[in-house]
Amino acid sequence: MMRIWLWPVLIGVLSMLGLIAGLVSEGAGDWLSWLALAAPVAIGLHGLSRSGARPLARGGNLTHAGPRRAGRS
Amino acid sequence: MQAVNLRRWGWVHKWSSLVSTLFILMLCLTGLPLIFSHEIDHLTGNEIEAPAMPEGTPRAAVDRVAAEAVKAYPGLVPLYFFAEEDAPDVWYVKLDTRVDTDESESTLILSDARTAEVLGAPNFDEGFMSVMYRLHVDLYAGLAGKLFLGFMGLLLMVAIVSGVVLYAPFMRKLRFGEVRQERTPRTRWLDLHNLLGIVTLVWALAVGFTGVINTWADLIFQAWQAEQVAALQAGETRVLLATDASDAPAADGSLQTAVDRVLAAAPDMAVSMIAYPGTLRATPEHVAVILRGDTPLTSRLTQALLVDPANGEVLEAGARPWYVTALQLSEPLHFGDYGGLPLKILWGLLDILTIVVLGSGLYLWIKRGTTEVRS
Repeated sequence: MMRIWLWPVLIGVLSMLGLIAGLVSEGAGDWLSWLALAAPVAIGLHGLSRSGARPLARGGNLTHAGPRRAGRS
Repeated sequence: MQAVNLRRWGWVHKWSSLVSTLFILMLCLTGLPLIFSHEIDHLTGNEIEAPAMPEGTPRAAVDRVAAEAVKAYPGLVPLYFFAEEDAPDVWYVKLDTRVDTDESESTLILSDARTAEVLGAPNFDEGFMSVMYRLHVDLYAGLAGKLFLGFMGLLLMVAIVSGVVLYAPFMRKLRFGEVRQERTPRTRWLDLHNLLGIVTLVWALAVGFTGVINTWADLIFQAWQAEQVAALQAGETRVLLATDASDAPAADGSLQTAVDRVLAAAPDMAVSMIAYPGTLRATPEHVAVILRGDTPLTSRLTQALLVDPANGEVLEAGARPWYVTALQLSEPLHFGDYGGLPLKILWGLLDILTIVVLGSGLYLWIKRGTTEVRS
């Protein structure tokens, strides 16, 4: 349980912090919100680029196997 | 989780997603340029600006601004004056055929706050950004369109929550962020769908739910107006400035004096909006002056004071109800306009990640026949 939810909860808390920080304070709050919200964006983009999958919108060939990487599991 | 429970949540996730996906995809796509509408208007030269004048140039009385606006748009009456924090020399003036229309056909113009001259009308009704706006807000169908999109937003909330429930059983054998490369494309998209869904979770819930609240804006303001009128009729108001107060300009029936009296009653506040009697934000007899504070949070949370232009009495008809507070906090959280350009860029990227979640979800459903047996 802990193993599954640790990262999602961490990212969720960071996102919440980022959404609220910019609202309640200017300057430092803005910086905090940029840094905190950059976390889900960075992890998401990283996952997207590493998957070797092309975004659907580009009409890429979805059945194409994509570059194989060394299995991580 | 028991297999039967899992199947039920899977059913909820499938149907809430299927019904709403195309509309939510449309909202994500049209919302993307809307995040940057200010920048796009600026770049395309669609932005109307007031000419530079020496600092401290006196401002024209709002009555004169209204008179000039009506002269330029015969047949219309003014409903509201809006003041933008970052454009202090400009009044946005909303005009319509009557004060009590649904405002869907209203005209918004910009007036110079110092000379009262009409500067122009932003091109809200034509062009790419207008199409994006109308598709995003009401599908060209007024209140019904708004409420329909709000319902799609609620389905999205259901889809997100049920997706979170399904996340754990799918991740039992996987590490966080793992996207299996060696399996079929469907497996890869499933892993990606789970990963992107879980990282955008809080943002998507916040933007989705505040979007739903924004679709109720008209109803919320109607309820607030009814509440204020009821409070006035019941005499449940607080008088902030009596008619004979000596420390404020005496009422003379003009709008400017009425506004000045409100500002005298509420020091340290700035005018955000002036609503004519009979409009959605005012009461039939009173001008409503909506004030804002000067911190990021209080500039969003406005205070509405009512003033009778004839006798100058300034009233507060009860504190701001919770549902108006909720609406006012929902606007920045939906638009992402409270942290400069970096926040807008993050908003745009999270929007794109959400589009991938929706697209991959649709793909997973189309390819459902090839579901692998999970060990």
